[in-house]
Amino acid sequence: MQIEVEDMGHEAFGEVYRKHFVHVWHTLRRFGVRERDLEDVAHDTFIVAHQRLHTFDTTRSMRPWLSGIAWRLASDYRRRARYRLEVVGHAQEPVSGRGSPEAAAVQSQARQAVAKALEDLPEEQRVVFIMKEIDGFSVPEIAEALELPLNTLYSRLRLGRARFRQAVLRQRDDGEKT
Amino acid sequence: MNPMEDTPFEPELDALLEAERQAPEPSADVQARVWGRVQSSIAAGAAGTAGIAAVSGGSSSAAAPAAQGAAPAVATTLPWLKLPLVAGALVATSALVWWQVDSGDAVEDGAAISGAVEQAPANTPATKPDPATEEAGQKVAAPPPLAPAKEAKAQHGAADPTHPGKQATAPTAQGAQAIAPAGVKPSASPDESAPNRRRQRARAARRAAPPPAAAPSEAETPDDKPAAVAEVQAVVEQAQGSLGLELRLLRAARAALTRGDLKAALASVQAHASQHPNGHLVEEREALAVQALARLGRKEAAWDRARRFEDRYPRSMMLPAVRAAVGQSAP
Repeated sequence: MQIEVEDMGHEAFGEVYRKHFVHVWHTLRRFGVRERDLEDVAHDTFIVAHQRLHTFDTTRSMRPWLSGIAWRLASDYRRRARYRLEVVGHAQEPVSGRGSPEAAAVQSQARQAVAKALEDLPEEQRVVFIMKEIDGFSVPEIAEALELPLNTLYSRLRLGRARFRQAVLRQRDDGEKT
Repeated sequence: MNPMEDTPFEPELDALLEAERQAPEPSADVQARVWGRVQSSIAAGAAGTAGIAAVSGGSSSAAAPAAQGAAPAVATTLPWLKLPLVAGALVATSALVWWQVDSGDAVEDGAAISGAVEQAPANTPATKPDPATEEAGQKVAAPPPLAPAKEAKAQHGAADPTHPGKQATAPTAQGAQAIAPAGVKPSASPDESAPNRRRQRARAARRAAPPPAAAPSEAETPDDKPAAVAEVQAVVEQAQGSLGLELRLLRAARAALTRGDLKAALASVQAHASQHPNGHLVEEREALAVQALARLGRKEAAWDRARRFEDRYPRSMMLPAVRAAVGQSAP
C-alpha cells in the first residue's frame, strides 16, 4: 500500500527534481550554503519536498515553494556551530560556459560581487531579496512560500534593496581606492 | 501593485544580478549523484513501518536535537505533521546508510559497538513495532536529549556493512536527521530543521559536550551489550524487512565497486537480483550492474544491460552514470 503510493509518486517526483534541481542548487548557494555542502543540503531539500509534496498546493508555482524549503534548511545550516563567518559563495567557480574567457571572468567577478553584497543583508532581507530580484518571484508568491505577511515582505525588500545597493557601491569604492 | 516592487535597479546593479541569474549550472554528474541519494532515501522510506519509525525516532530524536539544541522545536512541530515525521525518520535513516557507502565512509571503528549498545535501550520499547504512527511520532518527541557523541559513534557503526550488529543501530541514530526535515513548518523557526550533517555531528562528538540531560536510556550498563546489540538488530531487521536486506546488498556492491573489487560487486548485485528481483532498489541495482560489468570488461553484457536500463528508466537520473560506464565500451 505504502509502496504503491510511493511508486506513483516517484515518477512525478523525478520530474520535480529534474525541473528544479538547478534552481534549488543556486538558491541554496545564494542563501549561503558553501560549495562543499551543497550536495548535502540539496539532498535534504528534496527529501523534505518529497515528504511535503502532498501539502503542496498545485495551483501555486513550485519554485517559490521549493525556495521556501531550501531557505529553511539553509538557514538552519548557517546557524550551525561549524558555520563560521567564513566567506561564503566566493569559492573559485569554474570559469566555463559560452563566450570568451574574458567575458566569463567578468561574469564570474560580477557573481562574486553579488555574493559578497548578499552577505551584507540580514537573513530576513536576504531571502526576499534573492527570491524577488534574482528569481523574479512576485512578492505575493514569496509571501505564500515563506508564510509571511505581504507588508512585512515589502518592507524587508525595500530595506534589502537599499542595503544591497550600498554594499555594491562600497565594494566599487573599495576597488577604486586600491 | 506596490510601486516600490517594480522600481528597477540601476543598470549597473541589474547587470550584476543578471550575471548571478546566469550562474553556471552544476554538472550532470552532481545532479545524478544527488538524485541517486534522494532516490535511495525515498525508496527506503517507502518500505518502512511504524515499527522502525518508532525505533529510529525514539532514540534519534534524543540525539540530533540535542546536538542542534532544537529539541523543543521538534516537540512543537510534531502535532503538525506526525505522519511525514515518521516517514522522515525512515527516509533519513536509509539515506545515510546508503550515502555512507557512497562516500566511501565505511569505518572500522570499535567505538561503534559501544555506540550501538548505548543506543540500544532507547530502542527496546519498540521491540513490538507499533502500527500506530501517531504514537510513534510522539515517541519521537518525548525523549530528552542524549549526548551527541553517542550518535556519532553509532554512525560509524552504520557505515560498516560487514558488521550487522553495528548496522542495526544505524537507523536509530540516523533517524534523528529526519526529524527536522520532516518537521519543517513553513511558519516556524528555521531551528526546526536538522538536515543530514554527519560531519557536524562528528565534530560535536569530538567536542564531547556533556550530555545536556540524562536520557532514560542512559541507565543501561555496558554489561548488557551483546544482548542489546542483538535485540536492536532484530528489531531493526524485523521492521526494516526486505528493504534493509536490499540496502545491505547494494551497499556492499557499491562499496566493492568503490574499492575496485568488481567480482564482489557483481556477486552482490546478482544476489540482489535473485533475492529481490522486483525490489525497491532495482534501478539502483541495475545501474551498479552496468558499472561493474563494464569495468570487468564484459562489454557486451554491460551494453545490453545498459540498453535495458535505458528502456526501463528512460528518465532515470542515473542514466548519465550508466551511459558513462558503457560510453567507451560499445561493442
